[in-house]
Amino acid sequence: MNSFRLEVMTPSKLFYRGDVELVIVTTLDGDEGFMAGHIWACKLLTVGELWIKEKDAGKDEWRIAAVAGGFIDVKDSIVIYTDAVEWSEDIDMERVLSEKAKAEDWLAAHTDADEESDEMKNARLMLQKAETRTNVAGGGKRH
Amino acid sequence: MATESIQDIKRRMKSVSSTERITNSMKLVSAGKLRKAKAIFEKTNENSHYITNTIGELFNSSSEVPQDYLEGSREVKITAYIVVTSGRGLCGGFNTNIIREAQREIDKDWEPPVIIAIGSKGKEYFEKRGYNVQSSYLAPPESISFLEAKELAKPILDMYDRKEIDEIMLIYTSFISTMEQEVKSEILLPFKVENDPELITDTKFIEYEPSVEEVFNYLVPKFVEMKIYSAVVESATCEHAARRMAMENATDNAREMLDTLNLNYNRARQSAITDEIIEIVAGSEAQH
Repeated sequence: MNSFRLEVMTPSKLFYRGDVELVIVTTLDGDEGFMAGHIWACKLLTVGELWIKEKDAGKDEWRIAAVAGGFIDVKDSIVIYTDAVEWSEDIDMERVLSEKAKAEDWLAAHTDADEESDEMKNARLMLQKAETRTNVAGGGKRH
Repeated sequence: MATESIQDIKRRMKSVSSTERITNSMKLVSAGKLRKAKAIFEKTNENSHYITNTIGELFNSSSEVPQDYLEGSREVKITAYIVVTSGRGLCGGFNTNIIREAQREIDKDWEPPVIIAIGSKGKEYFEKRGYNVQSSYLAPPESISFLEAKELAKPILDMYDRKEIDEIMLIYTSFISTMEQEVKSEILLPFKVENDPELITDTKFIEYEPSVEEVFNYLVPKFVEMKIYSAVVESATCEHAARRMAMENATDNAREMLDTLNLNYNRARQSAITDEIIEIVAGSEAQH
């Protein structure tokens, strides 16, 4: 199968670089897969899962990571830029659970808070991130 | 130098050599920190170039760019200056250079500027002179995280959106080599579109999702955050390089002084011995 070069970047490091056949990301409209020869595009990503099928990988061999939003730049090669990203095997479940509990506590204590306030958005985002990471650590939602 | 007693010279030698020991160890510490900061800087530099390029391409290839962020969309009256200095001294002309450049830019304006100080040296300077220091970041710059840079950028961007400021200028020290650093000032917003024909011929159809504006509204703040983050990281690298140089010079000076003092000490000791011999000889001659 045709492959292309994929790079995943964060502000402080190059997270991944390699030849891949298929990459699946979560855009604002839902999951979307990109293969070699895709039309040029620039799309925003939400908190979600990143699935990478490396070149010459077997049918069900995926590398899975949790992404904290960002954007994907599709040209002849694809670059994903994100603020934070973690491989599924590197996720520290203890930390995820404590963050999740913190966010839930906050939401429970502030049920009357303004839906549009920054704190509210932050708490919801934290919860969403924790859930995504829990899913990813468990092998992703496609498993 | 016979006027100086052997005791005095000895005392001075002791104080100079302990200074030398301090500056030398500070030099070694700075060299280690420099190596660490440089590694982070090199990685960040690559990424920030990538993001800046993407945004540049986007600006050039799209006709639906929100005008608010482009040059010429509003009259520039109030400028916000982000001045990146260090939090600690003993680094030669590092802070002086950056503050001098900032002051020069500020003196060109008619309206009072808004200042965002990164590093306590800049904050102290501008506060003492009665400028409006909007916010500051005072932790050591080499340990800044992207999240902190993001929080730093947010109020500035909000002010820009509310039209309280019309221009954002970043003043920082740029790293050329371990021996050479240069003060740079850069306008972050409004964005200057280079209508570079080379870039424009390269436009293929690009799909934007959800829309050009949305992508844009995400990328512009990201661009500013990224710029601030990489400037702070770069400046930290420069600070350590500058301190290493300053400490190396101080160590060299101290060693030179020690050499001279050592020579004087030997001379003084020798002349004391000569004096004693003369006394003995004179005494024994007188007995004859």
